[in-house]
Amino acid sequence: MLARVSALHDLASDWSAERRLVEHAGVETYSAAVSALLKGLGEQADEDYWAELLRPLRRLRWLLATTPVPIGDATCEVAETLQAVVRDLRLVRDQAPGLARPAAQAAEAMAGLGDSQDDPLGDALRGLQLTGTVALLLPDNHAAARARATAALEGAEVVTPRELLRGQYGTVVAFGPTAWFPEPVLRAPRARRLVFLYYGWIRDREPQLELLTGNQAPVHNGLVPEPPRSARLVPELPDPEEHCSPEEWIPQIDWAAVLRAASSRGEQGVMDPVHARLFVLACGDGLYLEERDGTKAYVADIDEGEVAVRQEAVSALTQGSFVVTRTAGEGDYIRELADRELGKRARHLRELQAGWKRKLRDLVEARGARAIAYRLQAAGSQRADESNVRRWASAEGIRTAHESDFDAICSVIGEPDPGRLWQAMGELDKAHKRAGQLVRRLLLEEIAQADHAELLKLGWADFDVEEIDGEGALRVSRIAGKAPELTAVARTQLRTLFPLEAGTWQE
Amino acid sequence: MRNAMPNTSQRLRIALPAWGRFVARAARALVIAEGHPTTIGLTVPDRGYAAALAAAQIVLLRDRALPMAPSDLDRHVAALRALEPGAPVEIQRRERVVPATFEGFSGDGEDELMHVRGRADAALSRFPVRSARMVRIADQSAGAAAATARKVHRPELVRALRGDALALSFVTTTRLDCLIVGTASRLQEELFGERLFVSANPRDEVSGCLQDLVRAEGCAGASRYWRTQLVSSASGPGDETGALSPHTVIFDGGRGYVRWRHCWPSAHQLVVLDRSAPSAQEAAYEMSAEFAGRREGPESGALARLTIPASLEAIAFERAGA
Repeated sequence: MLARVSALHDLASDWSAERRLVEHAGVETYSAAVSALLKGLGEQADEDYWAELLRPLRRLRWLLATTPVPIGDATCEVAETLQAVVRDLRLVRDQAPGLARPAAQAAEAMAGLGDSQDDPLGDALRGLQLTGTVALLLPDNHAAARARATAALEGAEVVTPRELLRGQYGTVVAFGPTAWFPEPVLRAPRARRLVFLYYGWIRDREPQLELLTGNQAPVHNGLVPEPPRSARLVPELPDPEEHCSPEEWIPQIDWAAVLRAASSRGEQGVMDPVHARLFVLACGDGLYLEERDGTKAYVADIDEGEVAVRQEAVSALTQGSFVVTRTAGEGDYIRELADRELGKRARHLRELQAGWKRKLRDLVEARGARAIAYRLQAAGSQRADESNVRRWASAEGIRTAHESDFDAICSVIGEPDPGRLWQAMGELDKAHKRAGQLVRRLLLEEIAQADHAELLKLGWADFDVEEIDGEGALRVSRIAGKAPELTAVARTQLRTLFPLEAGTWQE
Repeated sequence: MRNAMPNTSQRLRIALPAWGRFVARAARALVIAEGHPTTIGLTVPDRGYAAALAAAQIVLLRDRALPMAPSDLDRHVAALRALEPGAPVEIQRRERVVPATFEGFSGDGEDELMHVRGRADAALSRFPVRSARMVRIADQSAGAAAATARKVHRPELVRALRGDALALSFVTTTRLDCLIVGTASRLQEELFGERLFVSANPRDEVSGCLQDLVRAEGCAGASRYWRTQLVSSASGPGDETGALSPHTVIFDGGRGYVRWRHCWPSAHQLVVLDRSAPSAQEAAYEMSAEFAGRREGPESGALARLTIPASLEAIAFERAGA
């Protein structure tokens, strides 16, 4: 193992990386047309009408740049995309006459590409004359899956950046500019030679290799500067310097479409909606989580070779975090486990819990949260305010943190024996805590025994924890995106996975 | 450590690679650092073995510099003086530790002697006070086990590096020289996974593993006496560990540094960031913030005159407000 670590230090000391620019007139014409549409629309590109048209166009552009197969191959979906957008592209001349030309160009270019047997990326790959162990690096799981399914690449080792970092190769050929890959690909090189293959009109950026401010000696940088284009096959197209930043190509989640698709499945006109954050998961599902008042979710921390399952505030969840959910049944598996532990007593305790919550909620709905907060303060509560009153009345939560607040609630809702109710809710609370610890332990054991490689490769995996029977496995899935704004949804939609319609997000 | 030779699967011995020697030198810089608590930050393409090598170096150098510090000796003698005659103790006889009873002191000044009687053979031994470390107060919690003579295993690697007498003291005393915040399973793999030789000569078979030097508490060979403690970067230190005062804390990975760097404010820090891990970025931001608020001093600080290998980044600074 020490030898392996030393080999990685050796690689880091003398790696080299080059960029090979690929040219193809048809793909360039198509890319330029898409860029012109985006530029011409400006902020309007985010409006629903235009977003619906642009999403498949951008997706095709991404496929063409990351799929090393003949362009007309079904994997690239050229014909499919053309069929989906051709009518709308024709209508552009009416909607935005100034953009009629690029719209027509895009349609024309797609028509040409659909029959093309040209394989610019594949030809460039074969032209490298590679020897030794070779890995083909694709920017994400979807692109890698497409490459793996391609007959032309059968036998080649196709990896994502996360997989690459777990191995060691003679040469890595990456499909895309360096800007499409996470920094560790070059900061911690796993091959002596890296080649980045991408279309010549995409402008790469210089990666930031150093991490530490004040570093006392420059770290080895083997990346050769981006070469100039040898020739422009379509000289009449605009200068790519102006419109082809690499970030513009990377698939983005279209949140307007995702939220629209998500809301269409929800309960309409619900009473007492909660404001929740929508997360798009790598498994292709959506998940609403309430964010206010420090609500927490279970996350699996699989960084640094160690798996840790812990609770994290929903507000702190970010893209790349691995969140633990349940594939079917009630999202709240902790509640179910707690009930099982409590046995016959669970029903009685749940009735008590539902009872005081219902009475408080009825009062809030009748008089308003502010008025009830005043009444609770008068009854001795020190923490009663509008936000807390709403939280106490919500179905989640078992009792207040402080007994004085609970006594005040009991007094206001007319509960005859606050002490006994407090104790009963304490019993329920303890069962929840024990259930949480159990889930954490069981999941940890299960994940520790499982093959992390699969989880890292796909971005998600299901774990059938034997002790947590009933509906559905526990799913650990990477967060692919976090909605920029909160959405009002029914409480029943929280913590439950739901499928997102294919195409509402780009990949 | 300078002479340690890891072997390969072909049983060829190779010298400790340049990056390993640098990590050991960085650790040495912390052992000899004076003044305010110092942080050395390293980024590496893979963090394997860096923390374990650094810990071995720290423990070894600390033992060389302070095998039994005078203050410790004074404190130990004071503790012995407080014993009632007949109190259980343990004495070192060659490579064995045998149960005995304490009988008291005689004489004074440099001629002062301690009297201890072996429990099995009733033989009376007299030790000069300066050799008080040969006598240890018996661990009351060990119960019956403590009343039995036992052979102390002195790893040959330690004997080769520290000499016979000091090796015995090394493996039968406890001091917190180093605390590693990282992944226990991974560290244990490194502590036991590689055979180190003291010489490149194939006929010299003296060897051992990093644990022989690191002496991580709870790992094989250091259940009772230890020099290093391991803390999980996921769960952090408990109250007891958090209250300790280690000489140096090694953060093996960025996650532990981000979460637990506020603990042990007076300790030196060696931070090993794995450039292949996403956590390195956040940890580097945090370290950059600490670096920006550092105490004024020579820019190269503890790493002055060290040649930094091209595979890693290194910074050193004295922390402000520590």
